[in-house]
Amino acid sequence: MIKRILKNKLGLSGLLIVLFMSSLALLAPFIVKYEPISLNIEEALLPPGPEHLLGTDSLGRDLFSRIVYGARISLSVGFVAVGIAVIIGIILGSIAGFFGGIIDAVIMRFTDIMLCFPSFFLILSLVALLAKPSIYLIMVIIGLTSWMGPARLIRAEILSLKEENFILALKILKIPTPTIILKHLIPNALSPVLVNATLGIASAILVESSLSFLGLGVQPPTPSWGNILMEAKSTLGVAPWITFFPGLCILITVLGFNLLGEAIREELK
Amino acid sequence: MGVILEVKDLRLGFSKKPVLEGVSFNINKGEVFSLVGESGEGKTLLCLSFTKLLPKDAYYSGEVNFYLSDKKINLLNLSGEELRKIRGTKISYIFQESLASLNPFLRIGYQIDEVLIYHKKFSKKPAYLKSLELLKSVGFKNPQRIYLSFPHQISGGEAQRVMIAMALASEPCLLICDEPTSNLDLTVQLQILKLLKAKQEELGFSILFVTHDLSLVEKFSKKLAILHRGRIIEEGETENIFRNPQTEYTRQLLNSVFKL
Amino acid sequence: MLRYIIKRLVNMVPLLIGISFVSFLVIHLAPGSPTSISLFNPKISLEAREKLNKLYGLDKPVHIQYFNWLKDILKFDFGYSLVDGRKVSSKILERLPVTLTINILSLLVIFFTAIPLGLYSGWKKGSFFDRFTTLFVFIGFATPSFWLALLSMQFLGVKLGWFPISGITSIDFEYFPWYKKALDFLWHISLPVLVASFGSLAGLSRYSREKFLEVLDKEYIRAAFAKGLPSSQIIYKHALKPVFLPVITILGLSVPGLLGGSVIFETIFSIPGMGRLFYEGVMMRDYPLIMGLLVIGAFLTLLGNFLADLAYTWADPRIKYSK
Repeated sequence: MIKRILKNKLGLSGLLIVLFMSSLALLAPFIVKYEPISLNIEEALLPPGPEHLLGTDSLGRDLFSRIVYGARISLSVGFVAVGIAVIIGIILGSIAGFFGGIIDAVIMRFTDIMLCFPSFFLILSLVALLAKPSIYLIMVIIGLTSWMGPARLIRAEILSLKEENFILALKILKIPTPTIILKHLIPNALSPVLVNATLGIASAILVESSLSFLGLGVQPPTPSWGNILMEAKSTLGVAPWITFFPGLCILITVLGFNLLGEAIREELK
Repeated sequence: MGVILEVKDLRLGFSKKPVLEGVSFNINKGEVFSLVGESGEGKTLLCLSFTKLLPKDAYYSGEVNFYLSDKKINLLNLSGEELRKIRGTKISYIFQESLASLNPFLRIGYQIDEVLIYHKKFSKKPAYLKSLELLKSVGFKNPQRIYLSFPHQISGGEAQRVMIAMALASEPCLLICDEPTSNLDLTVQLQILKLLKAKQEELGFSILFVTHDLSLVEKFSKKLAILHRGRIIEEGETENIFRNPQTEYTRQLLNSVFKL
Repeated sequence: MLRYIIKRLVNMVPLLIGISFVSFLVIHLAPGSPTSISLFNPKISLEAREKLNKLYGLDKPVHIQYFNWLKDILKFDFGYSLVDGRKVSSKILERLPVTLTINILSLLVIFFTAIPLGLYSGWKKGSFFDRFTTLFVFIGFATPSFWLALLSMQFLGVKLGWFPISGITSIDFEYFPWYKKALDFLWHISLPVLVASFGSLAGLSRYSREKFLEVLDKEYIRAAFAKGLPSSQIIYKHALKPVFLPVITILGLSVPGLLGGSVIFETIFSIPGMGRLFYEGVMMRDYPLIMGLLVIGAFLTLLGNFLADLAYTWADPRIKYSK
């Protein structure tokens, strides 16, 4: 399948972007010259130049290193939050799909109820409960509010797979139920979730940056693309590069995951 | 008599796959001509090609000469707008899926009115009256009800009768029927064929009857051609072909029919 | 069809109860009681604290609290704000119109922009326009709304001065005649509407394009061509309705997204709307307000879905005139 995605131009670009950003994040300590949180007031608000590739912010911190370390935050939040969402979704969706009946009805009702809330509202409410939001809690919160999509998808797949001959054969052979669910049903039900997850990472990155922008996410001085933009508000006219580059990074990264997700979806059709 | 449609060396296909490799036959005025071939042989594409209703990536070559009031027109050379004037007026179509050929969101009456309004320049009220008339002429006892119905409210057989009414709305010279009865129950099939035959005798248009079912052809049409692997392998009077099939393939087809 | 509507409404009741339950649960998961935040002031004695607790009914067991709250909500009483003691329902009600206006305008903008874009892209599939539009909407989808807000503020607002960048009225608003008031308001919300619609354009135009291409492949469209109908008739009369119907459902489903987005752009553009109220509530940990807004937000989502469903049911003859 990967080969086919490579043939699709847009999908290929998406994949390249994702890989590029991931490597930036992973190799962060090795690529940057300056520490992302080290201040140097004398060098504040410098435009991009040979010394500071993307310029400096109002506290003299090198923007390039802040952005590269911000990539770590965004990508890790993206992957972990979606990971949590998918795991919860798989658990709830497979139980609902496999056992049916009341269990299914209850879980689906619960899913419907959760889907009624604007997700950002829910996320903000959960963030409000915490005195000091940390990155790990943000991951969990985003995960806790995004599992509904994967749950529905898994349930739908399992509902149709349940009736397939090979499952009936396994039942006749008296293979224990958990084995059937874990080894046979779930792996086969995963493909639509893959699309959902890829697009979900994009969405999680947007949510994290929005939260950080509002001051409710990753707290400064730890750099996140969102909170760099929060600090950029005050220097918008004077130092546009501080606004421009982090936003551009968010755009490119989200675009990458979206293109990749759409390419996978086209493939699976 | 005279020829109404002359197909000369028609070749059709897609970039990777040729479908028709040189098809030629003639249809006379007022004649019922059957084209028999198995599924997937390209019969539908053949029908669509006459008025260039093909998908964008299809190629075609050859001549499809249509004789209109003593003028010979190669349909394949006409422009989109010129063809549009011929479709639905001089050459009409009936397809296999009768219900699917009707827009589920529009009333049936409206879909018949359209032909009258756009081709015959009728205005609303006269179109409505004429549509009712047409519905009556294809056997609907309560044309008003059908006129106001939506496609999901009628059966497949009724839908096919509606299609016939629609196709005949502008008095075509040639009616192309692509497997019109394959999706219908046996009794309904016979009804539809009877209706087509009656209308043909009444109005005198030619019919190109495309089917995979040889048993229908015997009573229905005088002329017949067999399509196999992209070519016409036999053509002639129905009676002759039935009595004296010239090719092995035809013999097989006939055998499978009579085994029933 | 009436039966269908009633059935849908009845189905909504357990959802509404569930919404209230979850909203209540979410807030009461907070460590400490909801009033603990106002007790940072060490001067408040134990007595006063107990009085406060009693006022908010916090001395009763949790499930009693829930039922009392539920009873109150049904009377549209969402309690009192912890910040200024005003009724939560009044605070929400005074902010609701602005948010609704902006969001409805955004929906209209999206409807009239995204759909034609999508349809034309589908009609000219593979052309430069199609590919350019595809890329454009993907980028739009990926653009963080707060970044777009900042950029538009800076370029369209400050540098070019075309639009105001904060508030919903000009300084001398009160002296304007009514039509100038309306125009002034619209002028002020132009940038927010732009920002709110931009991201959603992508989704809807792609969806319209897809549906349009699907419809063009259908038998009844081929039959319409075979009838010799002019293309305009085929597109506008035959193809549009089957595309519009699912698109309307999607529009209805975009309500929660728009509401969530309001939090951001209302805060940036200083618009006194529901979104910004939510943000302020969160910052101040004003729990009754947050609960109230959660319920209202979920209710509006349900309403949006219901209206979209209704429109669909009314417009699709297969449902409206079912056998």
